[in-house]
Amino acid sequence: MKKFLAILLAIAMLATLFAGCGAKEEEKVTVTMVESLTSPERTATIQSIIDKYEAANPNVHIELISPPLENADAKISQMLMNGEADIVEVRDQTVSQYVNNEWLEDLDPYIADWEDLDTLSGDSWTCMHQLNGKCWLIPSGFYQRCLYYREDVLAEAGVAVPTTWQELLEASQALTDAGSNFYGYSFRGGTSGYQYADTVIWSYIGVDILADPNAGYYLKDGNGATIFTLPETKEALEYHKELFKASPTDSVAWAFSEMVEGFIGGTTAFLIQDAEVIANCQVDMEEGTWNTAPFPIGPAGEAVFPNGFGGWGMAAACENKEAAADFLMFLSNPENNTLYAANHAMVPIHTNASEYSDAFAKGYFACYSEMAAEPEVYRHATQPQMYVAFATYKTEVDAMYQKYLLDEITVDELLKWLDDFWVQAYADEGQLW
Amino acid sequence: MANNLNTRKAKQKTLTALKFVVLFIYLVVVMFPFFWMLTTSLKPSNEINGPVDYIPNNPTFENYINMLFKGNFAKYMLNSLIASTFAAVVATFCGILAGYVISRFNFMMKTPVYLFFMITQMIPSFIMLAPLYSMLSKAGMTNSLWTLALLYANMTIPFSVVTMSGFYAGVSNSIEEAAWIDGCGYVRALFSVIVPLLLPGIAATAIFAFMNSWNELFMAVMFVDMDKFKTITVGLNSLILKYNIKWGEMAAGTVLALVPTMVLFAFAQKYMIEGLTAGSVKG
Amino acid sequence: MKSKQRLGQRRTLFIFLMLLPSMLLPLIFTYYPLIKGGVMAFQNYTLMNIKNVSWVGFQNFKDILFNTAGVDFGQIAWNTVKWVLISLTLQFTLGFALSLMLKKKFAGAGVYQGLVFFPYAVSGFLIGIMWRWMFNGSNGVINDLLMNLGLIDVNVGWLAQKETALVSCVIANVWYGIPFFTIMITAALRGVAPELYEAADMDGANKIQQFFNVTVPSIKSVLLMTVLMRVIWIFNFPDLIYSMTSGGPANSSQIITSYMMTLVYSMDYGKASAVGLLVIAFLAIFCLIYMAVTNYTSED
Repeated sequence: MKKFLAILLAIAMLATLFAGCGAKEEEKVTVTMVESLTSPERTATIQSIIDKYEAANPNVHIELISPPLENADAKISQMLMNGEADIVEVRDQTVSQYVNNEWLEDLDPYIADWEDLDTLSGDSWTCMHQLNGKCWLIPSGFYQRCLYYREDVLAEAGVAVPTTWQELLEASQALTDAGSNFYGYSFRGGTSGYQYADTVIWSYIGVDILADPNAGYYLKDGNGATIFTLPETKEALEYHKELFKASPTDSVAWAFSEMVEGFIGGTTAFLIQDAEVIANCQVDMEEGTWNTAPFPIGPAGEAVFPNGFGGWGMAAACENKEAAADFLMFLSNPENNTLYAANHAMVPIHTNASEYSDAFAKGYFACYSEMAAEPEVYRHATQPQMYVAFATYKTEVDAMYQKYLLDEITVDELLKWLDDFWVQAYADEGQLW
Repeated sequence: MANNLNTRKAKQKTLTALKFVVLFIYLVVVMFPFFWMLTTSLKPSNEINGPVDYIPNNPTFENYINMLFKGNFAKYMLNSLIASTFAAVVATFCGILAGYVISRFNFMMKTPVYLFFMITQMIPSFIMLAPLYSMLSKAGMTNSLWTLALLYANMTIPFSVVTMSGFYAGVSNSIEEAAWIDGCGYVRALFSVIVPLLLPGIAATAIFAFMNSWNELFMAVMFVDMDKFKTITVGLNSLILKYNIKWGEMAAGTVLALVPTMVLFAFAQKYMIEGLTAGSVKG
Repeated sequence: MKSKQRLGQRRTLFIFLMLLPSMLLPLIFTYYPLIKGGVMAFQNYTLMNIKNVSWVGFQNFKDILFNTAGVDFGQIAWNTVKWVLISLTLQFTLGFALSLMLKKKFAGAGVYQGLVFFPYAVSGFLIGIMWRWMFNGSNGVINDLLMNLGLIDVNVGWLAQKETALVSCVIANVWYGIPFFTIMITAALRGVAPELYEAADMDGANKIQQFFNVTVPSIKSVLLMTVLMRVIWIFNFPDLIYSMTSGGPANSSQIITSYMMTLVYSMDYGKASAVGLLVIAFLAIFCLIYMAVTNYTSED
């Protein structure tokens, strides 16, 4: 019995000892940060910036959480709902959800004295304040698309690098040789394939006709009328199907990885993707067999694609807002943001990025400078993601496009479905742009 | 008569030969995806997406080295091992107890009790995600390997109960009745007389409880944040990137993750064969 | 009389105590969240806007069952039936056949059993992307293999055709599920007393008669249990379809639970919950009928 008591006493003493430690630890502020677009290389870059920050601020600990990409957004939603995250990665796909649910904190008051405010680009500023005029995030960079092509194949066939959608189709048709399993274009028909159809549509109708570049399905002064009634849209969708026919037949089911693997593996001659794919090509393809070119231009004289972005927002439930904001500004300062953007092939958020890195103007990235030089041609638009109906749309639209591509429904039936859907959304939710 | 016996023997021989041919073909078909993973794991990344090659041109252990030394693969394996072993032990033990009364005793609530366990298997796990998260979050239980182990035990218990009750039904009643008459209590009769007869079934149940936990992904992603608590499935799932899948490393990881299964099987095999002799006691 | 009553009480207590450990965890970690999650089926609960959640009665169920705009529930239900029935039949037949061949010990049987168990040792999402990759229509290994064997002369887009997408998923699922039956049935077969066969031999029963008169009755409960379990599990195994085809093309391989996954990823938890409840209700009814028809829980 005595022995037992002694042990108990010892445990109690140990416990107080640890508790003492715990109290000491608590003076250190912990900020939990969750990323969404996880990849090992990117996590390493972010961690290196965190290490720098922690070295300069020994009383702050940034806990970086990196869930696997596929389930990251679902996890971030749960964490925000239960107040378990302080800083979260906010993306073009998720920003309106987080704002609608009041999960994010307005950053404007925290960054008012930020020394690097002046060098933020116009795109960055628009992106930060895209909803309700408040600042919901600091972008980490922009994803812009370009055309990847097989330099060797084109040279051998004597085909010029396409600059327009029409040329892309003709080149794809010319290069397609089903017998030897080679096709023109890496088509995207699987999950989120509609996004590719949308870029074609916008390049056919132009951005000026849209109610708002962020509500890319509605017409200007249309009172809820959609772009799916325009004859140009019909042409664009017919074009979309032609392009599919110059692509591998199974591309109707292709998602991200297949379209990229199709190009890198030597099945297709053309691919339209973000600049991040440059790194993959550099690893797996030989120099001189491939190159990049500006995004193809449509009959409207414009090349339109979404200015995709990722960024960081602060949770409304964050307990150490000052510390979190301070870290966010450090993470987003020109030096760190440029390092991050250069490592992951994104367009940086500061205008003075070229002072920190020369990675953006040369080599495979040259097409981006070309596009940036002609802002009236290379323009941005995106789907009306602020509508709650957009979530439902995403679950149904891919199957509709697949039915169209597989000749189950006609182009008019597809257009009617699209038009009905968004007219209904407008009727239900009103004008949200 | 002798002639007849001879033809019968010959027939037997052909049948046995045929059996081995079938077994061989089956093995080849089943193992092919693993062969493909193994080949892939030995290829450098630029060979993986190209035309189909069954043998790597420039074999390399790069992918294995990346998996083993660059990441926290060993830690993930250990975490999976801890959580799954815990779940398998708890679930099998619970299954031995509950399966016994379900299969051997007639009581009023039997069908409802059985349904209680069956329904847990019918629930798509997504339906519980949000409430479970907020429950664990409030209890401060997220981010712990023990939470995961507990959830896996919860996930595999019903299956173990149902399976074990199936195995009990294959053993004749008279055996434990004899033990009861000898003055054994219910519990002693169960563990000293029946359980030894059921070792093959118990081993099979434990294997599946272990494997189902070992392969679980969704809960491991949702309820564990920190790298040091991640499981092997989460580690492999992380290799699916936005634009590509790290096939080489994933294949290497898949091959490596088979090792514990092999060990487990070698271990369980003993009991599954022992059961053969134990069964003969029954009569 | 009194002692008999006491014995009865002791017996009840024994039953209760034996069941308790198994019921505790599911009550806390399954049933409680199920009830809380089930409630969402009657709300317009979407994570796109949780500030605006209200009761909508059976609207979600109506939307799922009758909204035929993008997702035809009849088609999905039919796909589910095909998915479950074909997968189950093949898994069961092949798994059973294999365990009969493995029943008699032979040199290397242990290693063989270990090897054919491997598919079950791979996680669902991994099986999905692995097979998606192998079925790839442009540079997939399955096309190459069939081409070398002279079975096809052009590449087939297995996952991109309405006719083959679901079948391809079924093949992957069969590959994955056979070991479950093999291991379970082998374990059961090894528990059958050899004396029963000796007795049957003496009666002059041939192998086929022995199979039906000795083998099947002895392992009947395990057969019934594994089939029921498997029906439920296959029904609830969208991981594979989701990562192989995402239910496409044009919903041709969409099953009820993969549709539910799509809803979850689009944050529509209300509708997802409604689908979940439909799944549970359907499977519970199936389970009751199955138990009644097969005389399942009764002792024999």
